[in-house]
Formats: sequence, structure tokens, C-alpha cells
Amino acid sequence: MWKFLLRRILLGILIVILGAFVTYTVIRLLPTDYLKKMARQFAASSNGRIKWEDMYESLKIQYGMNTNVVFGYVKWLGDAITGNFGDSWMYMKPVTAVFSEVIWWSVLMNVITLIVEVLISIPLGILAARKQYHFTDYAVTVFALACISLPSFYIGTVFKYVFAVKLNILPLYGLTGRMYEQLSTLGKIGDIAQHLIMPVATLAILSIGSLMRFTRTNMLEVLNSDYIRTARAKGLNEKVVVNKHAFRNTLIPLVTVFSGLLPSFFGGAMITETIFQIPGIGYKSFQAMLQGDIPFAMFYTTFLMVLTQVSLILSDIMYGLVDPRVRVN
Amino acid sequence: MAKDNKAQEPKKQEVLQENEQMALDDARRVKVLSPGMLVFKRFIRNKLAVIGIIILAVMFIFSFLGPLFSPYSRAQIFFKDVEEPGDYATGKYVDGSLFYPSNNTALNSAVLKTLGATKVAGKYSLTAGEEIPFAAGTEHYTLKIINPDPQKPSCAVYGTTHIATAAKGEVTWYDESFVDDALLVAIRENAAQENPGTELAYNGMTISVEATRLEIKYYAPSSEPVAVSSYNSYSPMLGRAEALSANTEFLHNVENAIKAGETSVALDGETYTITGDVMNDYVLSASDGTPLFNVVREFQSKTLKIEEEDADGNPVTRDKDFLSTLSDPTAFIAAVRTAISEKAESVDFDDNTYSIEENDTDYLVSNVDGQIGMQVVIAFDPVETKYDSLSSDFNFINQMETAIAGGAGSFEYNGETYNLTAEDAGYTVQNQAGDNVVLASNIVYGPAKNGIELTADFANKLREAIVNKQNKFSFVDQYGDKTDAEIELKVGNYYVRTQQKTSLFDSRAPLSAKHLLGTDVNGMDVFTRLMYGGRVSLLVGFVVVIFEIVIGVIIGGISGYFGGVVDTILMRFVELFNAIPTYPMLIIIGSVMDGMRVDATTRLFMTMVILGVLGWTGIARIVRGQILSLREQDFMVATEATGIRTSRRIFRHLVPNVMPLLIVNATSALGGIILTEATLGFLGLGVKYPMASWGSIINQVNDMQVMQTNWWIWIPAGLLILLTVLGFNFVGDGLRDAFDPKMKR
Repeated sequence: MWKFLLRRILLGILIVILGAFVTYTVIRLLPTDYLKKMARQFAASSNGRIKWEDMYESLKIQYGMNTNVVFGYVKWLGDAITGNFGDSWMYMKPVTAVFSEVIWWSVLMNVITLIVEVLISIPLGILAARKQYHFTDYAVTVFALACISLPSFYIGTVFKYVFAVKLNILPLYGLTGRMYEQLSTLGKIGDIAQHLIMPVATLAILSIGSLMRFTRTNMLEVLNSDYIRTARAKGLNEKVVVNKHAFRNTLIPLVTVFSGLLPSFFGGAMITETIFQIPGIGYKSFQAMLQGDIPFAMFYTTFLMVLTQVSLILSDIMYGLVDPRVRVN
Repeated sequence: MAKDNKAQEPKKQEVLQENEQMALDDARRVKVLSPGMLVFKRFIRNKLAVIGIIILAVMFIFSFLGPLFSPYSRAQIFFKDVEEPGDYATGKYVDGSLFYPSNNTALNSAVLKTLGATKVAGKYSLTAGEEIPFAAGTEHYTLKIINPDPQKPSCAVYGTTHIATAAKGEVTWYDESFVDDALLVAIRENAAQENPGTELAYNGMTISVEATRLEIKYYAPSSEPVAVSSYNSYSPMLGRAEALSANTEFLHNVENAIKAGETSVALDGETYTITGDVMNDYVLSASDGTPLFNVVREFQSKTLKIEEEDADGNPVTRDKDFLSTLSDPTAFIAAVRTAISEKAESVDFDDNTYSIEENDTDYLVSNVDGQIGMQVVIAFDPVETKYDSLSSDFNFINQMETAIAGGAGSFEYNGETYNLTAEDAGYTVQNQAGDNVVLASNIVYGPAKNGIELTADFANKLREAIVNKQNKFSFVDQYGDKTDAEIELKVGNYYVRTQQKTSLFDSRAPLSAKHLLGTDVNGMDVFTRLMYGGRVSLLVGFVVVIFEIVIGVIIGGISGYFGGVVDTILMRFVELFNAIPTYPMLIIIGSVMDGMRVDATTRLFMTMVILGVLGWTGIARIVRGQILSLREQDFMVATEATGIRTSRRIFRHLVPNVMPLLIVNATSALGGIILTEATLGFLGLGVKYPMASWGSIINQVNDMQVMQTNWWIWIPAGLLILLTVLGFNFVGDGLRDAFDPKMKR
């Protein structure tokens, strides 16, 4: 077990290092004009204190652009391992500082989304499984498929149009209202909660579908198994059968699903955050990447890759924990 | 009861059959469907899948066939004509003297104007003929007052000749024609003074003096003016012919008169005479004999469809110019002229008969087949146009200002006498023929924008209106149309406004019969854009999926079949690609392409390639997993035992078994790809103008105004995306259930 884990972690690290190299290569494919443009913008925003030519040279040195891709990457990697991801060009401060400022908004939003998602999709999934081939089952299936098919930007915009523009009951965008600073602590929480309703609803609708279908499939599998037949045969109440015997066993595969959610937990929801202008990691990274903010882009992509690997390892561990049969290998 | 009956019936049949002889005929054989048929049947029975198929069929027809029937093209921009009051011209009273320089002097007119005006304005009282010398830069000039009227003075500017220089008591002559003892004395006297001043009067002539520390220069005015400064603005008037050419009714009368063979036409009490004949064209003259128009018969040849035989003797239809088919076009035209003069209805030429048909004011000449070959029309060619040259001729203006100052009713210029008529706000000048040539007025006016040519009628009516303090007037514009105008006085300027047609982008127009779903921000038809957008969106989906399948099957197939080290290496490769986050990568590359200004087509291809490169890992994994399990099955052992070669084993025996799963996954992946592409479009990083995709159409919603007021721009595109993706998911689900009924739960 430990040997397997160690091998898996080492592999994860290797993948992150290689993946970051691929990203770095793509970013290095940026024409040098692009870096020049950045230097010019940077110099322009310094009110003439910095000459763009100087800025260009220093940028090239700072990001290893004066050497070839491999050396540049090694330099970046060396800095990154020590936790130094450089200064964001767009936000004018260390990338990690920007990160720690905004990450918790994303986490908060995603935690609430997860709760909403679980509360809706698991009961619906179970319901669909219990009433297989019934009208309810079809309705849930179609609903789940519709949720999966929805473009996030579209449902977000429709929400904005209906609730903010037409009905005018929810704020259009942002995390806090104009009067935020004057509000009491409770009022502040209420204000943020009000601003989070639409983003959370959007995210929840988008993720409900797959979880619902997953729950339904697993529940069906469990309900068709021998021990459920036994439970029914010995005359157990249908409620007890479903809620106690069946549901608990459907949790096994669900655990893996949850550990797979880790990247979206910390990685932020780029599109939804952008539509609602929630200052989370997704929105900030999107803007940084649009501006060609190389340090931020490198940091964010690497961060996402680390998250993916961690979640994969976690799901392996979790699987072993909940299902002793997989523990052997 | 009914149930029981039904249950009994088959039993009866069985009994009947048992009585017959047992035979395995077609009717009794157990019907077994082929596996493909089975899948198809199961698929068709699934309502959702059928709905999905219908949705997709509609989308494909809409996107790929729709544009063929659309009256509009992909990026056709629509305009709307808006009639609104627009600035037509501005007018104002002359508040500084206007300056008319000679065309061939290199005068710095701005300097001259300012200095000259200052000199004049500085004087409290002026007398006619007074000379005021002044220097502009290194040049010396003399102003000669023409009109001393303090309200609107006018003067002529004369250049000067350097006549002499006095230095240390010595006088050097520069212009021999001025050498004169009396002048020499005057210059010596002047030079001897401690302060020689700036001018020296001599013999009725003002000599300007330029004194420096070492020498004193003397300049005499030259006899010809180089410029005239006046408080009147001079504008050309339309010639009679030009004014008449706007009168279409009159011209029509002339045409009819010519046809009827009459020699005169009357208009407004004046009789115009027509001279000439059919063979030599006509001249339309005014009653005083001034020729106004050359009236010409034009023979307009048409293009005919002529059936001929080509080199192989096959009949072909060719476009040919009618006149070019004749042996001698000039002779034919002469024949037609004669026929017209004789009022004949046909003309014989080249052994053919051509009919001549009278048609209102023109004639149509047709050939034997009845095709119209030539049209004979009457064209009016004005003999004279505007009197442009006079209104900017400073010598003419000089003469006229002198006449005005002297109160004379006429003056002579270039051997012709011009008559002056004083009007409310200026003067009209007529030439000997009685035509108005120039309008002089202390109101200046100019067109408000390019393309407007102010007519003399406009000038007259504007002056009248201003003098009579009316704020509305109507005039005949440059196209001969009667136009109503309004005048508004603002800070000393008169602004003339007319109703004008302006062409604007018909952007964000609501739904109408012309635009079923309105127009978007750029004034393009939303419905048509949706069709073309669908093409791109669907095409991206299919191209990317095929790309993913090709890579995924190759990598997954090799990995699954060979296993071992190959598998380990390839799977690490798959994990690596799987680890690279898709959206950040797409956004970075998208902004790079923005920065490099990649054109729309290249961009589309790049997007497809990137989506494929980042998306094939899922398919590779599925193929590998499937092949891993299939490899261990007996039929594969059999292929190995029979010694079939590896490539055949993979592609003939393994891959077909992977196909069902592959098809199911590809169908579902299609939906995902379309979503990703749409998201990119929405973020402004996908397909760019002039191309369209559903996502990039919704992109316009980022403009708050569009979101709030123009639902037709973004709602339909989103619905189409939703329906299409839903369709793919329905079909994907249906396929999965059909291929593997055990999975259906």
C-alpha cells in the first residue's frame, strides 16, 4: 500500500513537472513582440519612470526568456519549488499574494455549491432509480441531460437577465454591494449571500446532472444485487431497504466522485466567476491570462495540475479505505 | 374476460399447427435479426434517442442547407435610411473683409488678410483711392481703398517694386523706369531726416519706406493689383441652361416639340427656339439667340442573344452588341434617322427589315425576331455651365467694387459690360445677354458637408430669408428638387437645416418580416448568422471528434494491445495530456492569437487542433481498456493461433469490437466540444468576425445594453447550442443503451 502510494506520488510529481514544461513551452511560443507589448504597457503604467527597453530586457532576464526553453524552464522550476512564482504583471504584486487573497472566495462558493448539489442530485438520483422506467425516471433523466447540455455562460446570462434585469431582485454582478462597508457583520454576510445566489445556482445546475446520473446508475446496481433481494425477502420495510442497505452502498463510488471534485474546489469556476465577476481565483486568472500575464498563467496552470494529481491520489486512497477489495493492489 | 380470450387464441393456433406436418418453412423459422439491426431496433424504440435524432437533423438542415435559401450572405450588413433634419449649409454676415487673391501670386493670403484688414480697420475715416503701404514679412504691399464705406470697406492690394535704396547719402536706383530728378530730390530729403517715416508721398503716389540702420529702401506700388479685399462674398450663379436642365417638364416638352417637328417651346413667357433637323441634331436657343443646349439624338445599342453555330456545328447562344452585327453601323444610323424624319415604321437594311416603334419620347428599333436592338433617345448637352471663373477673379471683383463705390449701375470687364442690380442684401450682376452671372452679398455661406453643392437659387432664397427675418424658405437644390429648409440663428451664424436621408447601420433592429430574428450589433441578420454559425459550431465538433478518435484509437490501441512497457509509457503520456488544464490553455493560446492578429480561418483551424490535442486522452483510455479486456478473450487467442498478422489482428478483429463504445463516447464528446467552442466564442477567444459561431454570436451579450434590451441577439443562439448538445447527449445515451442493453438501468 505505502509502496503504491509512494510510486503514485512520484508519478504525480513527474506529471506536474512535465505538464508545466508543456505549458511553459506554449507560453514561450509567444512571439517576442508580445513580450515587447507587455513591456511597453508595463512601462506606460509606470508613468515614465521605467523605459520600456529596460523593462523588456529585465523581463527577458526575469523570466528566463533570454535563454532557450529548457534553461528558462529550469530557472522557473527552481524558483517555483522554493515557492517563488514571481510577480504578476497585471496585479503588480507577488502571484502567491494575489492567490491567497482570492482563493477563499472560490472555495466558499464551491463549498456552498457542493452542498446544494448533493442535496438536490442524490435524492433525485435515488428517486429515479427506485421508480425505474416510470415517468419520474424519464423526467429526472431528461432534466439531468439538459443540465449537462447547458452552456454555463448561457444559463448564467439568462439568470442575470431574469433575476437582475427583469425582476430586479438580485444584484447583477460582483461579490459585495455598494453599501457593503457600512453594513453590520450580519448584513455583510447577507450581502455576500445575496450576491452568491446566482453564481451558486449556475454552478449547481451545471454539476447536478452528472451526479444525479451517477447516483441513479449506482443505486440501480445496488438495488439489483442479491443482498437487497435478501433484505426484501426477509420482510424488511422498503424504507429501511433503500435508506439503510442500499444507499450506504451507493456511497462507495460516490466517494471517488467527491475526491475528483478537488480541482474544481480550489481551481475556481472560471466561466461562472467571470460572468458574475466574482473575485475568485478563476476570474482573476482569466483576466491575467487574457492580458498575457505569464507568471500568473504559469502559476495557475501548475496549480491546477497539482490539484488534479492530488485528487487522483486521494481518490485512490479513498477507494482503498471504503472498499477493502481494492486494497490488495 | 377480454384478457382470457386473448390468452386462449394462441393456444388454439398451436393446436392447429400441431395437426399440420412439422416443417421448417420461412414462416416458422425463428426470426433472428442481425446485430446491427438489433441495435437499430433498440435505438428506434428509445423515444429520447429519436427526439435527439430529430433535433440533430433539424439543426443540420438549418445550418448546412439553410444558408442556401437565405436571401442574405454571412456577413451582410444592413443599413437603414433615416430622414432627419441635418445641417445643409451655414451662412453668416461677413465680419472681416473677404480676400480674393490672384491665382498666380504666391501671396501669403492669411498674412495679407490680417495685416490689410488691420490697416483698414485702424483708420477712422477712409477716402476712395487712398493708399496705405504695409509690410508683410519681407514683402511690401500697398492697399488702395476702393470703397471707403466704413460699414463694408473694400480695397485692392498692390504689390510693390523696389525702386531705390539710400545709404550714407548715396541713392542707388533699382528700377530704371522710376529714375526722375524730382523723385531723387524727394528721396534725398527723406533720407536726410533723422526719422524717415514709413511712407513718402510723391506725385499722387505713395512710396513706402523701409529704414534700417544702414540703408533706407523705397518701394513704389505696381500698377496691377494682386488681390482684392471686400466685404461682399462673390458666388457664381447657374447659367440659364443649367437652371433649365433641372426643369424636367420643360425638357420633356422640348422632346415632344422635336418629335412633332415644331420649332419653338414656350416657358414662363419666354419662347425658346429649336433649330436643326433630324439628320444633324438640334440646338435649343433662348429668345435672344443665345444657344443653351445641344440637343443630341443618342443611338443606344443593346446586347442581343444571337443563336449561332460553333466550330463543330452545334447551336450556341452568344451575347452580341446589336450594332456590331450590322455591316455598316453608321449607314444604319443614317437610315434610321431618315426613317424617323419620314415617320416610317420600319427601315430596310442588309436585306433585313427592322421595325421602328415610337415610345413616348424615344424610339425602339427591333430586329426580325422582335428583339429590341437599339433605343433612340434625346440627350441635352448644356452649351454653357456655371460662371465660375468670374466670381473668383479678383480683377472682376476690383471692377465691380469700384462700380459699387462709385454708385455706377454697370461696369466693363474684358470688353464686356456687366449690369449691377442692388438687392436687399447685395447685388446681382448680369451679363449683356441678361443672364445672372455673379451674386455679391455681405452674407457668406457654405455647404455644411461634402457632397452638397449650393445653388444660386439657394443663395438668393437664403439672402431673402435672412433679410426678411424669415426662418423658413424653400429652394431648388443641386438635383433640381424643391427642398424646404429651416434657418436657425446661433451666435451670429445662420444654420440651414433640411430633411436629409442618412444611411445608418441597421443595428439591433427588432424582429420583422425582413429580419426574422432582428439584426445584431453590427447590423447583420441574426437568423442568417445563426445558420452560418451553426455550420462552424457543428463542423468544429465533427472535425475535433474525428481528430480525437484518430489519435485516441492509435495510441489506445497500441497501448492496450502490446501492454507492458509500451503501455506504461503511453499511459503516462496520456496522463500528462490529461493533466494539462483545457480552458487555461485555450485562453492563453487565444490571447496569443489575438496578439498576433491571426486571421479568422487560421484561428478556426488552430482552435480545432488545440481542442483535439487536449481532448483525445479520454478516447485513448476507453480504447485501451476495451482492448485490454478483449485481448484475453478466446477469439483473440484463436487469431494468434491461426497466425494472422498483428496489424490485421488489431484492425480487423479488435477495433470493430471497440467501435460501439467508441461511437457512444464520440457522440457524447461532440456535445462537449460544441460547448467548449461556444464558451470560447462567448469569451471572445474563439471564431472571429466575419465568421460566426453560436458562441461568438452570444458574445455580444457582454454589452449590457444588448442583454437588457435585445434578447433576440443572444437568446436564440443559446437555445440552439442547448438543443444541439442535448440532441447529441440523447443520441449518445440511446446508442449506449442500444449497444449494450445490460447497461440500461
